[in-house]
Amino acid sequence: MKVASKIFIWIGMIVTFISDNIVISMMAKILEMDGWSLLFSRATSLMPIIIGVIALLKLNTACSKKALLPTAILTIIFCSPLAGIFMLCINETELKLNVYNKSILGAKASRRLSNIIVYAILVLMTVVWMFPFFGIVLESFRTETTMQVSYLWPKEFGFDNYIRLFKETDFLRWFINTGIMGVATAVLQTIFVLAMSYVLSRLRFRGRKALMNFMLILGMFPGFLTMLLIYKVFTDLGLTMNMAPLGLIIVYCASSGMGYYVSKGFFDTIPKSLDEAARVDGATRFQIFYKVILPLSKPIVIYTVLMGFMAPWGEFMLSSYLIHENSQGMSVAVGMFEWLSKTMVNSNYTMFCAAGVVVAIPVTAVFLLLQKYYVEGVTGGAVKG
Amino acid sequence: MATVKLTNVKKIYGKDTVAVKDFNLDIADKEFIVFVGPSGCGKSTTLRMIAGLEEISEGTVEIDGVVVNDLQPRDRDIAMVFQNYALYPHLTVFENMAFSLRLKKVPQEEVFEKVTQAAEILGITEYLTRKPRALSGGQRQRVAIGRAMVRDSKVFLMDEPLSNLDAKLRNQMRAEIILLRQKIDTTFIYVTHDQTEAMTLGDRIVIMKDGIIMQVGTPTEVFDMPDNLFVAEFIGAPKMNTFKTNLICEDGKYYVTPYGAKIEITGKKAEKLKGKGVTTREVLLGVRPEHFRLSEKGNPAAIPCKITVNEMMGSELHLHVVEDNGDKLIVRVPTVSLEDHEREALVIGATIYVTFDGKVMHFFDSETEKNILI
Repeated sequence: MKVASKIFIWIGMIVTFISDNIVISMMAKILEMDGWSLLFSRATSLMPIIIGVIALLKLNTACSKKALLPTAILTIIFCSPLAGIFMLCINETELKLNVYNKSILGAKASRRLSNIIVYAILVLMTVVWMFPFFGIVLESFRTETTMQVSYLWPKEFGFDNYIRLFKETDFLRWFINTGIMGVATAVLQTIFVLAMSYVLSRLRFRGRKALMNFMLILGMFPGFLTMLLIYKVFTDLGLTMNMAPLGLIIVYCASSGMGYYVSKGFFDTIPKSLDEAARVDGATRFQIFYKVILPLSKPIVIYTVLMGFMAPWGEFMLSSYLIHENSQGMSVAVGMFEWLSKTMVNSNYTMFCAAGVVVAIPVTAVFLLLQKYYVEGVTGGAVKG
Repeated sequence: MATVKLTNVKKIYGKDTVAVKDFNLDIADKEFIVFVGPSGCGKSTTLRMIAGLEEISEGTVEIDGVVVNDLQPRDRDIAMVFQNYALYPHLTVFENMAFSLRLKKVPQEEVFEKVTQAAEILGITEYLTRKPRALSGGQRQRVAIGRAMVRDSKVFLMDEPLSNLDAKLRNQMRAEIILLRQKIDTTFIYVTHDQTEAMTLGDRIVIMKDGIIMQVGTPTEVFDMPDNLFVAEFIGAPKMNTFKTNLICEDGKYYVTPYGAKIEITGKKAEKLKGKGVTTREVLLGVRPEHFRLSEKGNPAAIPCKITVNEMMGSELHLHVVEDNGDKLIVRVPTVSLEDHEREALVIGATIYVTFDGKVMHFFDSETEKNILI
């Protein structure tokens, strides 16, 4: 269980690393953050990793199943408020530092000093963040043993783990399943979220405010509260076991319209007179949305697509529940978790790392592919500024 | 090309915020109508109701005899130019102008022909491949006009199209709109808060205040014969001087006695007063700044006053003067008629004597503020 816990924490850190960085980079782009503010937001995603590292160290001494629960609770309890306090503190310090620096160094030198500090911290953080990822890549090429070892650099390199992954396991099947879920969720969720956001941003109808508030409150309940009910309904509909991916797509997309905040906020910044001009020009509501609003909302569309695509790769709780132990219907998260059982972990650890690397590929690829569409200042020139 | 008819049009926001009250207007085919008034007078709201961007609370809007109340903007066959241009930032100038034609699935050659033709008229041919953000304010507004032009629609609506431009460009574009109007001969409805634009562009002007039409008429009509004090003060710059005075009827002749001076009313105004059978009464007298002229001490028709501000406008001087009672007047003096020494005497604090002709004044009832000659 010690090993399982360790792996669990490792994976947690990697997922945090990838997802947080993607999200933060995107938010930074959208909100046009730079320097300190970027650093603060990065700092927030450092918290789970710090706690993960602490947990790993703890596990070496006192290891038991019990350690997992406190770790998880610690992460949840500390992450958000701590991050907030952390950000506030740094913000304060920055202000003081700036004032102090300016008084003795002058504006230019002060800015340079500020930049040096920021970049130094950023580099340090990058190293901290890259470390687990780097570790798992190295682990995946280790061929001398399949077990966990106490050293970092592999003694023998090879592709054995990857070959085994595709030849001896159903990993490819899980990968395809998850890929299908990712694409379907990305497409459907984007349609739902953007349609919802556009309607809430542009149309005025009775109960609009009430609906928004209702969804805001509803969104505060954790999704797994409905797990039992979903299981019951989906069993009756035959959407579990082999058909679980379809069921999961439905679950992921069904309530996605509630995540309208970010994109509605973005749509609100697009001048309404553009809609009006298009209406006079003869466009229907849908044409306005499709031909005017969407091309202007690329960053937010891509954000939505990415969020949708990434969701199924890391989601475990609900999928394991719906999939049961049916290998053909598994997603990567559920499938790979099987390898971590006490009896199997020693023969599967390096392969698990290889699978982790493979899973990271599509998410990273989609991100890199879409990144170039972040065109800043895309709405420039629409109306008089 | 179409007539537009508004009958008892009302706009009520929420429960009881009335933006437009009972608006009635017949707009003839190919007429250039200007809605003018201070901000919040409901002129834009009325235009947007014609465009279909605002719902009409009560009354009907007809275009070419068809009630369009429940039609979407796209079904009304109108074109509109917005105050803030509202260009599609992700499309080139060409595609911006072609947008409506593309939606109508007009064949490519026709689109090309229409857009290039419009671009030529507006002088923006060389910018057709650019994006709006690479254009200056004036160029953007041309594109916005071009986008409306290519549609060949029945009614051409313009919502303060020049108010975002600087003064020089505004004058230039104003002249261009007059030229444009000759080229695209259609019905125009133009909204502005600037009385100069209204006077120079409109065949007829609709002056509005607080959602009510104050007067409808040609520029000459509203300038020479304002229905009420509001119109009189709104049209013309600097604004008309008004002061309470007595209108005296003696032996069939009419006099006014502003600030002790006695001026006889002559010409058409006197005839009209006679025709109306007006007797001695108190009136609100209106005299435009340009109708004042400098006079001399001792002239019974002269009003003595002190200069407080002397604005040199180049071709004319705007003198802000204060009368003995403390009433403020504005006097407009053309510089060309002044000798050098006369001009030098017009310094702040100097006392001057001003008078005006008997045929140029306006008379308003001091209670109702209505023109008593109508």
